[in-house]
Amino acid sequence: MIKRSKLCRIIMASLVSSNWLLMNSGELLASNVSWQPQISEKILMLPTKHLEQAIERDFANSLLADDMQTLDQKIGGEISNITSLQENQSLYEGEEALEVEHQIIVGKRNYLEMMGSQVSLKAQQLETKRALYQRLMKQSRQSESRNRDTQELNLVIDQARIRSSAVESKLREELFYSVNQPESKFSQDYAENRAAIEALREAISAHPANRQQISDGQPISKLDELQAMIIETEAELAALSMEQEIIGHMAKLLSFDAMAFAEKLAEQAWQDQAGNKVQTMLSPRENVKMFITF
Amino acid sequence: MKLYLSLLIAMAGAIGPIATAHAGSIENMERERAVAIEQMLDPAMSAQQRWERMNFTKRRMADLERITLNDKSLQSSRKPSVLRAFKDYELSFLVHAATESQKPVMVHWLETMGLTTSDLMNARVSR
Repeated sequence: MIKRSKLCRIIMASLVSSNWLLMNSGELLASNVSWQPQISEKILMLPTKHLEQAIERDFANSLLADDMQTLDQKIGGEISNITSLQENQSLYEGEEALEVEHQIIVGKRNYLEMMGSQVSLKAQQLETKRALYQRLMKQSRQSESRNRDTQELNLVIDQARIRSSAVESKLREELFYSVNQPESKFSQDYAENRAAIEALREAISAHPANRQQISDGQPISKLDELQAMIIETEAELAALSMEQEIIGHMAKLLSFDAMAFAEKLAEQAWQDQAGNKVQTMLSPRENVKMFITF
Repeated sequence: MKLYLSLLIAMAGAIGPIATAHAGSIENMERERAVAIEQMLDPAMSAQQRWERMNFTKRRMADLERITLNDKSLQSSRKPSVLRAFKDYELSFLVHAATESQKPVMVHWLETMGLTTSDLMNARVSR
């Protein structure tokens, strides 16, 4: 029974030492879920802070986010399991000590497997986010190009409005009050609506959520903001690539641990077998007496 | 929070359709301006008649100019005539521009066209 258990451990240890399992499992798990952003280009109307929050909320509602959260909880559970085993390892001896060592290796294997999956899922999230930012940037660029065509017109319209607003009360005075004519209904409505619009415009421009970000005294355009977000996402992807390297090194270290453990078990199993003890060979010096006595 | 965001976007997007209510505001304004210029230049009209008619026309023109100035649909227009109308503020928005320059509409129009009082006084009839 003991021999069979040891054999099982040797097989498990050999599996753990195989890097293929560790390096591919994450990708296999990650391919089943995805995040397809449900965000329209109207989101570009929002300030940057709200835009980022909206994207984060969209991700939080995806299957990918659910899977990442579940996996994160499992990883946390595995970490506490390994930590607990490592803390109590010294309390065991003999067969039990071997079992604990084996469980630690299996736990580490599970941890790396799940962490590999988590990193793959995170990379998927960041790549989707980057693609979304790129799509929004393309739309923003198209919209800016359209706006450029009407920029001159909007400028002269604004100037005309400013000029007309400046003489509005004087014009009313001239048209109606000075000639003692009743004011037309449109003129009355216009004056009231105009005052309401001006008050609202002032409130909009003073609203904290509408404040444009400034860099070097220049307002930052939507394109610049999106470009900064893409760079930030790419930086996160680069950090993730380093995390993948860390997992690779961990896997290599674990495979060495497993190999050493497998060797230890194999050696012990071989020694346990009857007649397999290492026999010391006879040396001629032990029989010298046989030749020198007459 | 999602509802709030959707509401925000919907409200911001709703501004567009309301703004496209006045089509042809520039054409209406220019039609009225043509009537006003015709009245100003009509030699058959007495000064009293001209003053009375111009008062009525001025009020209509002021309303039409306000409608044009607040016509949101013009902001996305690609017609060169729209750009020209706003660039030539002095002639297009005749009543507002005249009030700004503190001159009667007729004087403002003639001066903008390059005809000052002294020019007209110095002019002589010739064949």
